Amino acid sequence: MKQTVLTIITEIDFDKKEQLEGILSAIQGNLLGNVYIPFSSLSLLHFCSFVIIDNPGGPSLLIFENNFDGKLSEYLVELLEFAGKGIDQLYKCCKAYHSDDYDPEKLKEFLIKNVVNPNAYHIGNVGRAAKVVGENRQLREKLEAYLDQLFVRSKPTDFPTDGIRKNIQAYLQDNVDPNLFNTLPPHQTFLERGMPWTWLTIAGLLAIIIVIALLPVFLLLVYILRRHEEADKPFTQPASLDHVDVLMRTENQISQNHLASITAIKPGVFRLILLKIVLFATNLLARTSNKGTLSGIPSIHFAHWSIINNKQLLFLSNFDGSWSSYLDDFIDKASRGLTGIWSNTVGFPKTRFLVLDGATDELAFKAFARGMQVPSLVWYSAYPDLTVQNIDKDSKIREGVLTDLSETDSKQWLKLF
Amino acid sequence: MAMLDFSDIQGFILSSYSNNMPCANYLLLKITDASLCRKWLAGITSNITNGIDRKSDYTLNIAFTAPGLKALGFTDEDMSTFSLPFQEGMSTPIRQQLLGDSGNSAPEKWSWGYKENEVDILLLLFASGEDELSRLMTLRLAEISSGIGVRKIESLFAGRQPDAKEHFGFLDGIGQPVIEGTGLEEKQLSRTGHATVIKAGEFILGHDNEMLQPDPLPTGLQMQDFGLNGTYLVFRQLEQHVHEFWNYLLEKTRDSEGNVSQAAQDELGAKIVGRWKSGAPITIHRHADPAIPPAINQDNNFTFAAKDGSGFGCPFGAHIRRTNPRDSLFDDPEISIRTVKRHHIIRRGRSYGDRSENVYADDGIKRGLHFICLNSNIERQFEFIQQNWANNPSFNALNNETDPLIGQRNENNIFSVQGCPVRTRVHDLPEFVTTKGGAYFFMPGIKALMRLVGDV
Repeated sequence: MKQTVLTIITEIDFDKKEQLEGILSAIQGNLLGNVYIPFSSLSLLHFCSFVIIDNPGGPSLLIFENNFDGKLSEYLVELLEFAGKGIDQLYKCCKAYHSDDYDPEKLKEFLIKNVVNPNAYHIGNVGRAAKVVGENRQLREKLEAYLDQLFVRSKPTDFPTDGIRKNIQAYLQDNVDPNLFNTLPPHQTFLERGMPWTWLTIAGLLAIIIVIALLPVFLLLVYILRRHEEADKPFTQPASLDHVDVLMRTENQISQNHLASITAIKPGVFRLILLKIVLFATNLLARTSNKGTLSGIPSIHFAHWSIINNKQLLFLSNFDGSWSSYLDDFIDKASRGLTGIWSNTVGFPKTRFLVLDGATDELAFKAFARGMQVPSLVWYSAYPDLTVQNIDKDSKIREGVLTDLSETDSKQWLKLF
Repeated sequence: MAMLDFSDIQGFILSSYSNNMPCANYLLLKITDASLCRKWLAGITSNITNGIDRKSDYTLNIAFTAPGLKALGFTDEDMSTFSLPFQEGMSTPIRQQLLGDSGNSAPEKWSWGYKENEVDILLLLFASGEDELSRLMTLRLAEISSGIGVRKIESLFAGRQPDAKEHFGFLDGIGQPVIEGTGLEEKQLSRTGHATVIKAGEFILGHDNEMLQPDPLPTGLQMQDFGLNGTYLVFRQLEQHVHEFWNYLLEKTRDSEGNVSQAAQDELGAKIVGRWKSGAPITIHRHADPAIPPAINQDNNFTFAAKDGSGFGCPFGAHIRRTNPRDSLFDDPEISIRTVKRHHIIRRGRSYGDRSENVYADDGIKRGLHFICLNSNIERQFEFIQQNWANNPSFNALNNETDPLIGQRNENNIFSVQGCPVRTRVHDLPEFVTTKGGAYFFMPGIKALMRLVGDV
């Protein structure tokens, strides 16, 4: 099952912004029971958010983030079936959407027209549909409860390794809905796994050839970059207490958190093109990730970068744990990658050669990150208590529960509980 | 390496004084008249113990909350240079949620540190004996009632304990980072067989931290380096429900015939803590507390990833594995160690209340830990450990578990004990520890203190 990551970006009608904010706050205030979007009916949806970006001198933008299973067309069918009228209410507050009577076809057309596909994205649990994530959790919970029951009158050491597995398998056949443990397809097909590496290799070779063939040009570009970097002015003010307070108030309600940030791309074509190249490379790299990590970070469900109107860089991330641990992960494991991206935006801490320094200046980087963050006005997670690693473990439990495993593999499998 | 000016650093940052000062009192004060208070503070400043004093009778140290500094003349602009949690205080809804202070631990139920019991000044008194402490206290209390511009909110006594064990019965305070430049590495090495040397800037402001940059230096009273050689002091009064703990162990280890066994209780207790009562780590001593205790202090030199990757010794969710994951935070041990080094605290807590005579009986005596820790960045250190490790329900990819010893309790809290061939679990962990009070303090350097009281 392929997942899709995209945003729908629309301009907000100035006169109706307050009304829009009212609706969004009503949705967030009652995520599972609001009248606009019955999230729990959306079986394809993993994570979803609404964010407003204010632009001085220009219209504010409504960002509708969607991370879902399958193709957009299938998702929209489900979305409009359950939430069409509510979504219609939202977009009535946006420009260029004319709807006197709710017309699902018109709304669908409008949404598709305003889709922005990300320049780069990452998916933590590749190929695991939201529905399957829920099933796997149920299966794990049932097996955990069974094991607890088993050890009321016995000890684990009373059983040989395969004895416990045999017990579990017998329990499954008699007591558990087969839909919870039937075979899952692999996370990715052979082609899906192989192609990203092929593309990455081709792109890498091309890059090397271009650099060598046009070495003087390349050196000139490096020189221009250094000139830019010396002239760039990082922000020095920490984010205001009030701003941080607003952000923190909605954080840490569940196991996961959401981060939406918007940064202005540094003026001029040079930085814009550079950013596009870096994001292109990031995307190629992210496609080859199949262990659930992005540059070694194990806690990201869905993250994406989109360039808006060639002026702004939008970053949306759904991650496990707190903001501070997320930022630390960034600094410890991916500082070059993220410096390479955000150093093309205004206010980022001082860099050298695009990827050096920058994010390793911990305090300046964290201040920058907080300053650029915008509140997540609505944010929904289909599985609020599961981390990327939880989901992976649950999936492995199901994948191995009926399979013939060697003694060593059986031991490993039992460690998943 | 940092050159530290020990004469400008309060002695408490460098030493717990536990060797020769077994008796302590923490005086929590509210300022009622700033100018009188400043005059009083000016009088005692020369008595504040610094890093080169070698006192044998008593020591005196001091720290201030944000409201305390404001009362003594710090402007809003000054305050904005301090760490954000310090500015806001420990009892705001955001902090409350982040630290897990809900239910019985909610700030509304605290005996100090919230609203009308808010504190401005913490005076730390340590003395060589009961008589010395009572002499000091009589003096201080007389002073306070004579009108020195402060009111007493609480006086928290932490008396002599029979040994270095905390009230649940486990040896405490074993692992402790060594501040680079203090020369205490050898001492820690000989005491515990292990010393983690950490950059001074993690604990003393104005010096480089583990990221080789200094944490923000607070300014105030026209003193650009007011924060130099100061630190943030976190104080939490944690009441321990000893009988709850041991009765829980007793019930959960009862066998199917209803028999109870001390060995089984001790083992489950050791799984929860990650150490046996003697302090011996369960990662190394898998089956029982080693018979000859003196050697155990040499045992702190261990790692989880290499020796205990499956959690069969020390469970993934055990207290010491959560609060100091060593090399097991991520798949890569080296990255783990590097990351963990940026989240260390220096613990300076002391037990209060008499030791339980019968750990299964609710004797009505209040006892616990006056938890105190020192760090340069409350968010990155103390709060990080509390939020991301101790109270994280998905720590180490567990489900719905928090620190089995000190963690915040959710519905049906579980503790998994990994084992071969498969784990066992205990359910419905009760609250073993309740927060009774707390505040974030700033402990200034000596020069800054002199500016604060108007001497310079």
